[in-house]
Amino acid sequence: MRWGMLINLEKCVGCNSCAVKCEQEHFLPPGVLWGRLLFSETGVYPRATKHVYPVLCNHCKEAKCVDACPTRATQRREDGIVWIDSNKCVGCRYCLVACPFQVRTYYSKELEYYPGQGLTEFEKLGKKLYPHQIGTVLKCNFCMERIDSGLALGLKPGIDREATPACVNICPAKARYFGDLDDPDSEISILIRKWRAVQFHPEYGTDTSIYYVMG
Amino acid sequence: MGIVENDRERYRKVFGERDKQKDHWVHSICSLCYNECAIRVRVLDGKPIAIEGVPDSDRGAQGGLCARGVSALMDWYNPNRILYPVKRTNPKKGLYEDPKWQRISWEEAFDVITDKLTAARKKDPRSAFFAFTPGPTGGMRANVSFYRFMMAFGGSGASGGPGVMCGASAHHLGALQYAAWDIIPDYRYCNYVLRCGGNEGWGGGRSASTSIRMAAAARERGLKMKVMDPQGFTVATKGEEWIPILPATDIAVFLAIANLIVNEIGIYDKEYLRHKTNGAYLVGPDRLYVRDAQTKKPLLFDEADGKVKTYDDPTLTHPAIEGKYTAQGLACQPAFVLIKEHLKQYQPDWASTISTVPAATIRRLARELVDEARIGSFIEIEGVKVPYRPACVVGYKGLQTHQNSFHQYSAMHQINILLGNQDVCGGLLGSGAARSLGYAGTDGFKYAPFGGVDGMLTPGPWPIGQAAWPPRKVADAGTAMNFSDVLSHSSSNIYPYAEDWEELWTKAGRTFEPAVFFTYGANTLMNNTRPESAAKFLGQVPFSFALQPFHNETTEGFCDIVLPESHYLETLDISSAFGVTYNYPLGMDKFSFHVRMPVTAPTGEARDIQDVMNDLADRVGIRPTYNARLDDFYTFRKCRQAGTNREIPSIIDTKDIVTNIEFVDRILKYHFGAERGLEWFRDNGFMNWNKRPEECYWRWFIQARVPIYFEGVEADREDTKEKAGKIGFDLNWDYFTALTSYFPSVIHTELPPDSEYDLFIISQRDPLMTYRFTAQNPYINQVASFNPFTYNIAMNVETARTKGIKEGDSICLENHWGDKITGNVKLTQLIHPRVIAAVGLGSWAKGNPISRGKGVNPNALIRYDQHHFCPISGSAEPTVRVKAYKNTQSEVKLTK
Repeated sequence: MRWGMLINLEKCVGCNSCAVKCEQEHFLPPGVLWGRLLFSETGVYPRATKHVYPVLCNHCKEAKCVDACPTRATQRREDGIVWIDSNKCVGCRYCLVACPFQVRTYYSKELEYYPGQGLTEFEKLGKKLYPHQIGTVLKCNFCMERIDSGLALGLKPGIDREATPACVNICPAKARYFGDLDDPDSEISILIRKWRAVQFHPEYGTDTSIYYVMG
Repeated sequence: MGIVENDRERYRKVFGERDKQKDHWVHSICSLCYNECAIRVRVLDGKPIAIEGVPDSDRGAQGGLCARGVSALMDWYNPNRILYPVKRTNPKKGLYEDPKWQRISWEEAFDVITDKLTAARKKDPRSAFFAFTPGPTGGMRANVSFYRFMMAFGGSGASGGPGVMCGASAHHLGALQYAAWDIIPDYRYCNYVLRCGGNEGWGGGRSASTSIRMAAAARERGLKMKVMDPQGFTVATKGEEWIPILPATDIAVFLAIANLIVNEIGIYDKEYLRHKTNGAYLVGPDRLYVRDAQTKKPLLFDEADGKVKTYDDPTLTHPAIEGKYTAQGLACQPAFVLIKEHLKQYQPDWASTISTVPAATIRRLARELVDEARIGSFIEIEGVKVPYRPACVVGYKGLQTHQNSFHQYSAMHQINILLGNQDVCGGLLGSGAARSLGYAGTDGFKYAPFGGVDGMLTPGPWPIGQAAWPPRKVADAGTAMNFSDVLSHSSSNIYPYAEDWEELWTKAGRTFEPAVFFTYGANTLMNNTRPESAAKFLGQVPFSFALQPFHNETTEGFCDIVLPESHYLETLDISSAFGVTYNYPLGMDKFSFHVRMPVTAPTGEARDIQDVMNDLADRVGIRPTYNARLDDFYTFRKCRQAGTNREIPSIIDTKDIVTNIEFVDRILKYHFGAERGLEWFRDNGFMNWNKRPEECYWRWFIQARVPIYFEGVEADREDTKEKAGKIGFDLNWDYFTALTSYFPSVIHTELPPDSEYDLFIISQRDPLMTYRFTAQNPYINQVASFNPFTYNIAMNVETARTKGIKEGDSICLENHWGDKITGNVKLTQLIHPRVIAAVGLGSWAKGNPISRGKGVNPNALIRYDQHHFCPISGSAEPTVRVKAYKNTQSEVKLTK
């Protein structure tokens, strides 16, 4: 069992829906994005091409962040999800340096979405429903709370919405797929083979759980 | 009870019990752009905490939703929302003025507004100006609740927001060619798209999440796409090939492609031309139709029996599109003969010189279109045999927002006509569903386009204004302050925000003066032209008021009173369910019928627009007429009556005094039966029924023809010239021709080729931005800051090098009138060397602290006058010639 994600860049239009939905789902504080887009271009006019890469935590099998964490706050579960136990995180930020993909953010101080106008009711609600601790590192957790509660109800992550990461559900292009990378017959495994999907930076040797179909 | 308490009591009766649930989902309709996708919202203890798409609905992305839609939640919590009526206490109006708002009661606000409207109406109803556009609370609400009030009042329409820059030609020709507001490729079956601007399918433009879903599925299926666009950083990412082009020159490429198809390749859909266009109508020496002496109907030559017949003769079987004939004693030819001959002048080499697109590319595109269109083929869809033409040319704002846009957009459609791909499988479809055979349960919700005057296609339901066919008669100036009397083919244009409005209006006799300005959803000051020009007009109006959920530059600068509109998540709205020729359902998507349901009770003293307009209609004394206009719309009366005198039952009578809640309930029951009223939709969310091939691919099932020859335009030329000329219009009157022809935009002729103003600035549509109001959302602002093309000015790397400009430099853009804007440069290879691009932002309103000062406002460089708009469709020319240089000034101040 190893949860993974496939992003088809042929289908992705770079609309940012995944990034914004993630902010909403996890009541992320301003300045913290668990998912975001990277933009680049190659070629010379008029034969130039734009590239958009949605990135998030790669939930690496050989996670550098897990190795770097002195308090074992960053952990890798048996199902492959790499997560941070905020109660153990001391904010040393070794993991920020260790992560070759730069998908971790240090939550340094409380900011307001409407600066100078106080916290909105939504932000206050978030502090109760999905609290984040100042002085710790935050990152994508593959919506593990959705996966865990979904599995408890007998639902299948990647198939049933209630058990599937929010960014997969919200993608209007249906560019994201989620499922078990260890199961050769799962939809995601079949599509990775069919579309010849690749991992980013295999040279880092981290064996990421996010695969991309290059557009 | 007071006005607001009454509203809340009515709300509680219907939604009170529902709202007592601790944690529940509500089905509604998004409002973050005019496409209005279906959404469901999770509500916890009365507060919305999550928004997503609706998995089982085809209205949107089947569970997905774009970033703007998701971000709406943060708008609901926006501490800057307008929650109470306010009046201006700073008597000074103008750009950057602080209105110094003071809270007042609804009673006081209504009393003042009623006095002003009543006085204006008594003097001359046209002296009240209504400026509106799709805004933060939806497109169809502006079209129905607001616009129908204006109709009942008899007021003047003044483009409120991006109207003249938005779809003036697209909607004009959408009506003429598709009986629909807009167009979209049939992504489910289309194999080849030549895309010329209009990034639908990429988050911007039309059909938002729906088209993202459809276009992505098409790419997965193998859709080939060519992107002909001055910039390649929005859509071309996914295009197989980016073909850079100079702005406003697509027309030359289109005409050359049409010439190649007709006169060189020789493969085009002759049956389509024969039966579905006016290419078969006989045209005499005066270039007008030859008409039957008695019936005045246009005539055709039937090759089957060699007789001349009227277009609706039941014996007509094989109209000629070639040859020379005599009819009514006149030598005449089918219109298509003139077109074929006319096209010969448009050679690929000529088009290449104008557009910078290589001639070889133009030839290849023509060949590919013809090859991919499979002209003559059929396909069976759900047991129904329909023509199959899986190729099209599509575009939107980049094509149609230019001074030459009527001809430019027509030239694109001319190619689609030649391919015979209009509203057939795989081709180019009207947006929404132009034809509905009705909801099977009740036979309600039934409408269709029809063959109207001269047998030409006439839309069924039309969201706003008068559909382009038939055009109004040219009238003497002085009846309309935007001169739509003398320029009768369109109803919206650059006036009164153009530089020469005063002069023209004075020559027209100044038959009335602006007395009241009422705006909804719009930001007139920012979204039309340079703020100074809009301010010049707004500054003349003695009393201005708005109905808005958020302040903007227009409310702060010029409104005396602002009424608080309930946020869309607090709104019960049926109009967005009736946008069927506007934004849904697309292609073979199901009819997914949703109602915009309030997710929570309105906050503060905010009120629903329909209740506000009802109250105003009562106070001003126009309720009976207002009811009648609303009733016409919601019953589909006009198209159901077409060609008959039959009585259409009403939903409300003129004397009825119904609230929004009661009205919505009645409309639902009228169409879907007594058991499917408001409470059913409240409890069940929405309903689906399948679209039939005869509805989606209606073209060959409806007796109507579309214009490939614009005889109506030709017929009005002399009259227009005389009446418009009298008040000072001095235009190239040759533009009023029936033949789609090359006319360069003024941006290519007003300055010498070697002018120092060597660049063209285009305002590009960012997938995260709807006009300017989404920029105020902190979620949007946060992700937008990662996109280098959103807040910066995009410039070609090589162009920048020659000017000594480097990445990130602050630069100044200056037009030949001396107007300037400044911004930071993003260098890219993905833009034509002679083009620079920016997103229309650069707000300064105090009520929008998030967007304040971010990005640039390219509109500040625009100066409209009679030479900078399309006199047929009314579309503006917002592309401006500029020079670019490094900015050596210190930071530009936002406020005085």
